[in-house]
Amino acid sequence: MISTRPPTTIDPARLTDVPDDIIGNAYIQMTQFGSRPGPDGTTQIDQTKVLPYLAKSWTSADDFKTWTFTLKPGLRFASGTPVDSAAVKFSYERALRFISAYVINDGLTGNVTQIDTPDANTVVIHLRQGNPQMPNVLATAPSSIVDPSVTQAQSDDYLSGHAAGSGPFRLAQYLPNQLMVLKKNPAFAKWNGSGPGADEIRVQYVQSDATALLKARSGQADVVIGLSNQAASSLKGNSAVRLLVNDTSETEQVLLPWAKPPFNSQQVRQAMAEAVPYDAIVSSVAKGWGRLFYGPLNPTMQYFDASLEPPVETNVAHAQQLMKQAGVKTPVAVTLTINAGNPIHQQIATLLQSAWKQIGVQLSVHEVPPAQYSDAIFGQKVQAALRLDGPAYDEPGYFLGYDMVCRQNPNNICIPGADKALAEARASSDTAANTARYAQIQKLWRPLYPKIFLYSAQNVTVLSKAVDKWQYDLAQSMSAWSKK
Amino acid sequence: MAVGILVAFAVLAFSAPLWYGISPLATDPAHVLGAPSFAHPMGTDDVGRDVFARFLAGARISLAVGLGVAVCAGVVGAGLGVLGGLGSGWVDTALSRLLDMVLAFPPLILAMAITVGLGVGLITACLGIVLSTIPYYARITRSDVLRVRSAGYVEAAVALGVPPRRVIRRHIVPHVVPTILVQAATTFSFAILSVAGLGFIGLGAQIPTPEWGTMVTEGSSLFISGHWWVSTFPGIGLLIATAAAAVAADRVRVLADPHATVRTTLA
Repeated sequence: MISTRPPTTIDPARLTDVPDDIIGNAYIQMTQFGSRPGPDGTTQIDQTKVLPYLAKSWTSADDFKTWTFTLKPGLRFASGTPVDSAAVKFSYERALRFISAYVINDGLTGNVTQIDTPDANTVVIHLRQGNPQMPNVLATAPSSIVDPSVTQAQSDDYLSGHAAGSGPFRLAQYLPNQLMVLKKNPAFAKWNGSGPGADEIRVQYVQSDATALLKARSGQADVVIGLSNQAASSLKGNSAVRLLVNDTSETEQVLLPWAKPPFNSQQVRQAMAEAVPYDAIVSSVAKGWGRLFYGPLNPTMQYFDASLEPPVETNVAHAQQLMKQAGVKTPVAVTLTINAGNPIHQQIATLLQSAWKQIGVQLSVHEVPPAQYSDAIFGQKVQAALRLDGPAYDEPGYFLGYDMVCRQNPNNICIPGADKALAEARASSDTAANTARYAQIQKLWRPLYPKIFLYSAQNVTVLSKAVDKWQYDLAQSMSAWSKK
Repeated sequence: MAVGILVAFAVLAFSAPLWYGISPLATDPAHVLGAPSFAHPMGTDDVGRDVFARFLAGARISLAVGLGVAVCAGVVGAGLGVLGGLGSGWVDTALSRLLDMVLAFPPLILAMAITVGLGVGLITACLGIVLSTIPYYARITRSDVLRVRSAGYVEAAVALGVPPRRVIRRHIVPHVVPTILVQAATTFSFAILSVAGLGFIGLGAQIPTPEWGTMVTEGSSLFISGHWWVSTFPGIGLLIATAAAAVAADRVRVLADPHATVRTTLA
């Protein structure tokens, strides 16, 4: 397999970006996501379905504040240490010390208050605020169960370069930014009754789009992920490969922080949104592999209602009127921060420069290196920014928790009525009531034009003819893959 | 011939706004990655901009940068060289050690460091290239001044009581100018290549400035998918301009050196 996006770390407690989740293959989690049919006879992960994994069953109190998980015994780490409740407690308490705490808490800061282990096969998790989504959260890579004996014997940084798991694969070799070799874990296969479809998966990290394309074209890889849409589009009609297109929870978006002028004006935000050539961006930049919508929920999410979130219509004349009504002295200078070396961001920024010039916005583009990019955005060091973002798992409550709630999002969005509805939705498992609550959020959000969703990205995977079974997962779980 | 090519480039590039009506910044999403055609002689790029318009605008930038760097670095560097060559012992020593320090860094690496330190962009890239080329002017000028100052006619002028400023202006500077011109011609070529190199790695001109190195970078990922024209034409422009400048520098050297002229004639 060739990937253009290497992980920044492989420590489950410190995963920060989607490519990092690949290490979840070397660990087991409490639960796992189900699947549904995908394109061309393949399958894809369905994050609304949660299935047993290490936990064979679970129950919760009526208020969803106490969750009791019963573990399936018999699995051991490579060190011989049993994968039991003590390992689960150790792993979660460790993760809660690092950035993965955000995922384990489901974005509700400090929500996991206590973890009890009444016996070797029972884990009880106590929450400050009820959360019906807890089993979903525990299926994610940051919720992986690590070997306490190995982790305690090493420094805290040990897992940044090694794995200490018991998942379907074991990490046989890892050279950061170059190579990851995953081999079937016989102990897991014996415990689970079946192992992964492939005996070994070699992941070669190639950061050059052109090189990845060459390898895809020449058949040097069975799977190529992370190709730019431009490169992938050149493979259309190539009989040696299959192109699979899957919807993802990632969106290309423009952050317009409300605290920074001129974005403190709703009319300016709306004008900028209406001046964007959405169709041109999807056709020329995303090569058609993008879905138009206008937030706050991504089209892949439960409770997304297309009738409430239709795309913004491009209307430059109206946008010019709005700028006049806003009383902003034009030309107004705006600096857009983009991820250096990201050709898609460069293309979009260039198109936005031309589009916004028509409404008196003088856009200058500031490219920052990838290492400083996230810090610039979350550190509120940008006036405006172009960003590809998606949640660690595709659940609207979790997503809006960091993307909309007052004082918790890099866009300075603050809609108290929407926050109230979100808090109620997150504490409830009543689908009908939650449908109404999310509809209310969408109605409150949209007229404010809080930021600009350009399109929902679709992922293009290139498969060789040798690949027999394939399951798409943004987090790159590979158990279902196999080769003829 | 080489000078003729550079002049032709300059005339075409600087007169382009008068005879080529397409803006190098105008995007046209409906016509992205169009192959060279009558309407777009060098095709269009991934956001529908006309590559020929950008090529011409890139030529303006490259030629202006080459000339600007050669002149700025030449004035400062030659001034320091004259100062070192004619100054008292400690001035010469201090300047020489300072220049040694700067020369310890490869010029492009130094230019990169300066650009990163001052913030990426075309202006800072030019500043970085100017600062990294000043020592070469200073060194070569200083050695020429040391040679000329001990010449018989300079010693005679000093013995006759000619004021120092007049000695410098009339008897020393005219004799080091040819050397500076040779260095300037070399620097011109180096500056074009350096600003393109810095642009290629993202430290030079920023979006949407049509600079040749940046254009090569933008088009490099498209090359493999068959859209060769986006990076090929600016690459060819770069090749021709730097080759012509290098040949011109060599010609200036031959013209400025009477011995070289004799050798050339004899050959």
